[in-house]
Amino acid sequence: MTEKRLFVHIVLISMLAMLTFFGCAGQQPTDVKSPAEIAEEEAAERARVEAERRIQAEEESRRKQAEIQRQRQIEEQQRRIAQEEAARRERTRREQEEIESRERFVETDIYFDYNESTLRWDSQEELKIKSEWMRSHPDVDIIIEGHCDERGSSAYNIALGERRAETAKNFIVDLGVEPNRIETVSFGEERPLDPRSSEEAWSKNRRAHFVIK
Amino acid sequence: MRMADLKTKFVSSIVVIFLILSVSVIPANAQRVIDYIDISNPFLRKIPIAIPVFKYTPENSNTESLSKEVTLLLSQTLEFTGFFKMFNEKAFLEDLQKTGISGSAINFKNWTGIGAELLVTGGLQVQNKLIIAELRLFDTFSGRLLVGKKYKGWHDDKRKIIRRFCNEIVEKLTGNKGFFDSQIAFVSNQTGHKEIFTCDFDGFNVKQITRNKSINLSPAWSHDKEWIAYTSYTRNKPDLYIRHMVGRKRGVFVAFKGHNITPSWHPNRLELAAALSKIGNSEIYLLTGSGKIIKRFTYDWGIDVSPSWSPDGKKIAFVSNRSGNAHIYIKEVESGDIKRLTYEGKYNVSPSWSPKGDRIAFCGRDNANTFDIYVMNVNGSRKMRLTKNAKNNESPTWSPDGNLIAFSSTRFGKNQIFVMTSYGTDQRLLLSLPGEQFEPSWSR
Repeated sequence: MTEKRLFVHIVLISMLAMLTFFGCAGQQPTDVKSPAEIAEEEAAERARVEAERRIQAEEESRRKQAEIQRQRQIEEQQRRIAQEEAARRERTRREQEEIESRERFVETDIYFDYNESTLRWDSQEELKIKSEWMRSHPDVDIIIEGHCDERGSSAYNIALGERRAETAKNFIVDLGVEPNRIETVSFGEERPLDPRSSEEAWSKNRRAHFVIK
Repeated sequence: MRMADLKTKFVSSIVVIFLILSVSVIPANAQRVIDYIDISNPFLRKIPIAIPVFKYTPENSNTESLSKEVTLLLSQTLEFTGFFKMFNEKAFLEDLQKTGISGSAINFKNWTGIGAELLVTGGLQVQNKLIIAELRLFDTFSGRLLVGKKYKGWHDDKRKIIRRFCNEIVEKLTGNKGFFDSQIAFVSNQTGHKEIFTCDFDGFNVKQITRNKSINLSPAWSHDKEWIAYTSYTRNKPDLYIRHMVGRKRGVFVAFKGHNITPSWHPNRLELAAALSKIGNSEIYLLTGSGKIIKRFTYDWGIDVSPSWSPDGKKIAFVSNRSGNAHIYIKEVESGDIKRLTYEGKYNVSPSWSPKGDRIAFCGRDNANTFDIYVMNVNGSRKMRLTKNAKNNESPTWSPDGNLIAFSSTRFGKNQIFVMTSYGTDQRLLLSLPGEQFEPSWSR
C-alpha cells in the first residue's frame, strides 16, 4: 500500500515536472485529470461496485425467497394430496364398512330349534345387530323369510315358517324399528339351504333369512 | 225297455259321440250279497276269484291278444281293491273259448275244485272299430249269476268298460260304489319344480296340471271333481289358487296378506275350508268357491292348519299347536265346540276324514322320529298304526269308498306315492315317475 502510494506520489511528482516543462515549452495537454476528478471517479467506481454488490445481494435474497416459496408450495401440495388420499381412504373404508354391514345383514341368518319358533339367545343377539343396522338405515325396507327343515308336513311347515318370520319381526320392532318397513313370507320346507337329509343340514335349514327390498 | 234303448242308441252312436252303454243281460238277483265281503274289515279274508281269459270272436290272433289284455286289465283293476285273491291261470281247468260264458255252459265244480268262490266270465266281440263285451260274475258254489252286463264302445273305451264293470262288481259285493272312476291329484317335482299332476286311481293317465315353474302344493278336489284348489307361490308367497278342471271357467286367486294354504272342499257344496294368516296368525276360515270369506272357524294364538271335513259336513278335523305341540282337533261347525283327539307324541298332522265317517287317518311322528300313517276313531280311540319300519310315510288320503289310503313314502329312497288298504295291508307303489311325488289327494 505504501509502495502503491509512493508510486502514485512519484508518478504525480514526475507528471507535475513534465507539466511545468512542457507547459512552458508549448501548449498544455487538456486530458490531464485533476486529483479531485480522480477521487471523484474513484468514489463513483466504488459506488458502482457497491451498487452492483447490493443488487446482487438483493437478487440472491429474492431468489432464496422464491425457492422457499416454491418449497412451501410443494409441501402444501403434498400435504393436500396426502389429505385427499386419507379422505378417500376413509371414504372407501366407510363404503367398504357399509357394504360389509349390508352383506352381513343379508348373509347372516338366524336359526331355530326343531319344530320351534321361539328365539334362541344367539338369534336374539343377531337380531339386535340387525335392528341397529335398520335404525341407521331408515330408508331400507326388508323382507324376512321363514324356513323349515324338510321333516313333517309341508303345509304345517309353511305355518311354522311364517311364525318364525313373524317372531323375528316382532323382536326387531320391539327394538324400535317401524313395523311397516318389514314384510314376512314363509317358504316352509321348500327352499332348503342344504338339501341333504342330516342333522347338520336340517339345523342350517331351520332359519329366518333377511332380504333388502 | 232298455233293450230298445240300446238298439236306438246303437244306431245313433255311429254319428253321435260314442257313449258306453250297458245293459243287464239277465236280471241278477236284486238282493245285495254281503256275505262275500265283510265290510267291517274286508281285508281279513280275501275272496278267491277266478278270471279266465275272455272268449273272443272272431277267432284270430288280434282278438286273442286284445282279449288277453282286457282280461288282465279286469284282473288288475279288481286286485287293486285289496278284496280279492287272484289265481294263476295255469290252475284253470276250463277254457271259455271252448265252453262259452253263460251259466248253463259252465261246470262250476271245475271252479270250486280249484278253490275259486267267484268267477268272472267274459265274451269279447270285435266288429271293425267297435268292441262288444259281455261280462258276468258268478257265485261258483250256488252257480248264481251276481252281475251280468253288456258294453259297447270303441277300442279306446276298453279301460272305461272294464272299470265300469268293476264298479258293478264292487257295488254288488260291498254295497258301496266302486272308486274306479276316481282320480288322484298329487305334487311332483319331476320337471325341477313342484307342479300339480293328476292320474287315475290306478296311476294310469298321468297329466300335468300346472306349468308355472313356481312351487305348487296341497291339491284338493271339490266334491263334484270339477275344481282343484292348491297352494301356489306364483306371486312369491303362498296363495290359494282355485282352478276349473273340466271346462274353462275362470280360476280364482285367494291372496290375503300372509299365507293362504291347506284347502279342503266341503263334502257336498262348492265351499272350502282353508288356513289363512291375514290377521298375523294362521286360522281356519270357510270360503266360497270364488274365494270370499264366509266365516272364521278357529280363534286361537297357535297355528291352525289342514282342515278335513266329516262326510256330513258338520265337523272339521284340523291341526293345531295350541297345546304347544302339533295335535289333531275336531271342531263342530254349528256349536263351535272343539275337542282334542291326539295326546301321544309331539307331532300329529295331516288329518284325513274317511268318507265312511268313522275313522280319521293322520301322520304321526314316533319316538324314533320317523313319520308314519295312523288311523283312529273320530273320538280318538282305537288308534292303529298302518306303516312301520318303512322310512317316512306321510299325507294320507282316502279312496272314495273308504277302503284304501294313498300316501307318500320314502321307503325306496325318494318320496313316492303308495296305496294300501285302510288296515295297512297290500302296501304298493302307485306311480313310477322321475323326481319325487308328494301330497296325494283322492277325488270323490
